[in-house]
Amino acid sequence: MIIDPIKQGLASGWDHRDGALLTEDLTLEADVAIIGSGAGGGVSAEILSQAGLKVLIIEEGPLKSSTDFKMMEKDAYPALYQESAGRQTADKAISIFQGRAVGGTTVVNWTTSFRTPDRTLDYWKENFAVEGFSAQEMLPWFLKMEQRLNIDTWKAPPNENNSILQRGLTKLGIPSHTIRRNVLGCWNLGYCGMGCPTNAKQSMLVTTLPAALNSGATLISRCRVEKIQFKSDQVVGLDCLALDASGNRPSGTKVTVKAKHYVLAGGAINSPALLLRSKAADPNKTIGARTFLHPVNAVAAEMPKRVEAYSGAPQSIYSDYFQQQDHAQEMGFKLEVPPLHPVLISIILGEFGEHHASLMQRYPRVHAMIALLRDGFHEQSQGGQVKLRDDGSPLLDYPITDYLWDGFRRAWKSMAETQFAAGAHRVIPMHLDSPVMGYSSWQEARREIDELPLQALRARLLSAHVMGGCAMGEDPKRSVVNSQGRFHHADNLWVFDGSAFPTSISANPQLSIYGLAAKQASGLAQRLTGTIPVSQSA
Amino acid sequence: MLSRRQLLKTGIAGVCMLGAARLAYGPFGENVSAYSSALSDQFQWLTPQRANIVSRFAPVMLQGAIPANNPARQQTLDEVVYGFDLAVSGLTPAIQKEVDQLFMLLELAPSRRLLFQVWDGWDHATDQQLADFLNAMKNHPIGLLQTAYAALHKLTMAAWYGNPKSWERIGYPGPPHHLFGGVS
Repeated sequence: MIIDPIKQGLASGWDHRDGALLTEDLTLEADVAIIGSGAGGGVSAEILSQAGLKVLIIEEGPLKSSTDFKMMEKDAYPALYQESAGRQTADKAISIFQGRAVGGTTVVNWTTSFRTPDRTLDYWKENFAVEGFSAQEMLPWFLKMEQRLNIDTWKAPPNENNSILQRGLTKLGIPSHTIRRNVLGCWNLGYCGMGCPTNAKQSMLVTTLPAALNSGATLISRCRVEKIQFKSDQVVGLDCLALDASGNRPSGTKVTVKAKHYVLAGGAINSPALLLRSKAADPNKTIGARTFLHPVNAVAAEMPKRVEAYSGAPQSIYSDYFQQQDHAQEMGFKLEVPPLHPVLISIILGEFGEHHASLMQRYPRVHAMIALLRDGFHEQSQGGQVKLRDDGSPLLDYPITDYLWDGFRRAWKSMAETQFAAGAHRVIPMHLDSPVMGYSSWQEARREIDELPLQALRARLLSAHVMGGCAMGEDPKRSVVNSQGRFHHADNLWVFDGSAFPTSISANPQLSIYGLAAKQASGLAQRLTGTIPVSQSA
Repeated sequence: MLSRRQLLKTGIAGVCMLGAARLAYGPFGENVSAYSSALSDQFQWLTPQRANIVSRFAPVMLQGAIPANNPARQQTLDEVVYGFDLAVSGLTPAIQKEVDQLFMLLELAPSRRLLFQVWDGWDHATDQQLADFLNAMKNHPIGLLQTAYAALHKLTMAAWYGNPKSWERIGYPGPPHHLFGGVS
């Protein structure tokens, strides 16, 4: 019997309001209103509420918990992901997997945890006038969050899907390493992407948010912040729309929020979109610019033995070999593997009919590998621009430059070579112009991959990491918030989430967001209470 | 076969025509029968005509993946059409609008003929014609039609492979519910 900490907390009297159940308009007041409950919002909520401040957390997604997490794709994607896991860039070339529930993407991520690489932090300081984010200054915040979320090197053997990555790279003389994960008592099931059914994943849902609610915070779910109300250099309120039971449409009930300070933590794409929708001051057109994705391309392989890529910790092995060299001239990438569940693999395989059915029949022997491109560090990699659709919903326009295409091409080759080195029978780059049954040797793959057309919509491209769009820095001409996270054009509006990153992280970003939010929220708590906050939970 | 240039021209003409026809008449269909099944009164998004289009494409998209013979085949297809409706229903209003436009393109006789070379309506198209059509759309020089293929593909695949009945054939044991004492 799994104990559901959310059900218990609600029974103990947490102040949670479900927007879909509201029958009349509502006004809520707080010291600090936090928009979004993911990595940035969750950490901020814990720190600010434990500092004695009255905190209100506003989340667009539903409150779901382990009792609801049945490891079924058909239920998890519509319930827990932005746009039913169907979010795409404007030209539909890149599919974006981003969470939307209480706990945000931390509810559905694969638990992979990296500190922000030193050279990313150095780049921010040198190129974006970011202050206070040196490796030395960030170390205590990473340590704090690693302890809080039990982030540790994965001790169990990697599953076969990860093991193939390790074996292939070893054959090629390329180093790989074990991933650190934010889990406690993990059952090694492999269903992290559908919400952890055992509460082992130390997501915001089972850590910081319960702590905040225990400290008297209020949570309102299924409630969308439509507009931030500005009055000269102050935010004076939030106009919110309660959503109906589907979670996609306003129910007609309105929620008004009045607070002394406002923390924006809706994640990259949604945070800049809210600022744009609110017509926030933007004299230098920086809001929504430089939004990054770690664009991902993939290669599937048919292995001689069972892989069962649906089972076991999704990610436990990685390699930074292809991004460690000085890539001033070419795009670097990180190698990892994705878990494969039936809907996900069936969608990524672009064929239909008998060919598709035949590939699906090999499913238990299918291995897949992904390359995460390190976007944002080159003049030909300036990321995308968040825009608004006619209905005010966000849309990311992310052009794919030749520089990125070159990175994808080299990544397909590196991945194919690694899979053949690990004993793959055949390898298929996820590209509509790949041969249906792929390539049967590395020599063939190396030759043929050079011929694949580098065109949007032909290559199957993905992203699970959205970053940037509200870049921080001391130069208002190139940033949206300052190094403390304060919006350049309002004294009481702060951005504490992954949208504040001036580039991509070049590693899975959750721990970078935790560290940033812990640092910034502690700074805000100190400013508002006059004392340095001491965590009661860590 | 049409040349790439002709396809481009007719494609653009078709898209323009779609816009004009929508302004003039609103959405309309032609030669599309109404579909019904035991599940169709639960549809939230599909109209009987659109469900019929889905029911014509799905068996071609899923050729080799679903049972070959009735009654299992018909029951499976009914579940796929139902799953397709569920998948669209879960989309945001903005994306639903795009799927709506895709179906208008499929329903409208002029665009169907010009873009897809299907003259007599989907009811009369053979499986081979439908497969040719899907391939043409997948490889069409117009990006809009490639995205239309991707949308049909995704929604149909999700509708089937999200259904536990699809799992035995692909060797997927399903989630380890037994560790939790079964689905509660």
